[in-house]
Amino acid sequence: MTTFTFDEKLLTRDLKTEARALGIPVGAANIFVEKTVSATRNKLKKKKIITKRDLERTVVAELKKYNADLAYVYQNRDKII
Amino acid sequence: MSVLTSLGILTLALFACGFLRLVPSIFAIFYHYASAKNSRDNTLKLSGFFVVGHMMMTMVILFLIYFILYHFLLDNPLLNVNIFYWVIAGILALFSLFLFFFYYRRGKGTRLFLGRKMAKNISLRARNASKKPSDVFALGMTAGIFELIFALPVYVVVILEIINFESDNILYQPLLFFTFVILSMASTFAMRGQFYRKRKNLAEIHRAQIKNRTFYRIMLSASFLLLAVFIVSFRIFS
Repeated sequence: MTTFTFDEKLLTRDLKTEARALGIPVGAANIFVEKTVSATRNKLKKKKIITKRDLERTVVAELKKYNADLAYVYQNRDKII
Repeated sequence: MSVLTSLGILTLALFACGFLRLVPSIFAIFYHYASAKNSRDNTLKLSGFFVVGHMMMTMVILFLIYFILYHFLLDNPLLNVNIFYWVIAGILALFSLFLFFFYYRRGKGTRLFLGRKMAKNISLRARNASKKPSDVFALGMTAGIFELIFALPVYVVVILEIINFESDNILYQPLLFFTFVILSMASTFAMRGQFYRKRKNLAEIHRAQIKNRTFYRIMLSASFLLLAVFIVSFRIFS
């Protein structure tokens, strides 16, 4: 079993890159990426153990509130080929 | 009749190459991440290096096949060309079945036959090759190699048709060769147009790909099978 560390900075950077690639204005992207990351942190801190899938599901659910395309790209980023 | 048959086989080969989705998918990932780091026009320029890289690799592979076929196989008195055609037709028919059942993995997405580790590595390369033209060029060339798994028998058929093309004018053969190389990139050009001209993003393009997945699968498999049938009926039994 492999373990991973939930890295907020990395998640924020990844989401901002995806948002920029989708052509979402930087200001708007910064606001909802920050909101998504903090909501994810709050939701997951109650759990003792989280899987990568838990993290992805939570991030996608939060992102869907702001931008469906960004949520879709984040969810499918490793499933294109 | 023979010229028309050759052109028919070459057209089918183009269809077969056009429905292979690996290179356009790698291109889509590259373009998506490149557009995050570059302006719209710069991304378009960079994507040109991908196209040229892939074109160069296709040309190198086709030249290599030409060289091997022309110098080692077709001039060999021990080799029966009909048997060679049977082998190629058999491989194409087998690939047609394989492509229908296994080209796309089970599930909803557009995940292809590649091993997951390899697919992840290619994705990562496509993501990172978004600044330097040399990286993009290399990515295009690498994509050409990965596509070779299924494109190789098609390329062999193409070269055989070009070698045996009946014409008094020697310019027709190189013309056919370069036309094939350029037209085989049609799906990548189409992907480029979707991003640049139609201003679509990766999410929209991927959703459309998922919607058309069954169509791609059937067309890909059918074009390989038809190519095999054409070879058997027009090159072996004619």
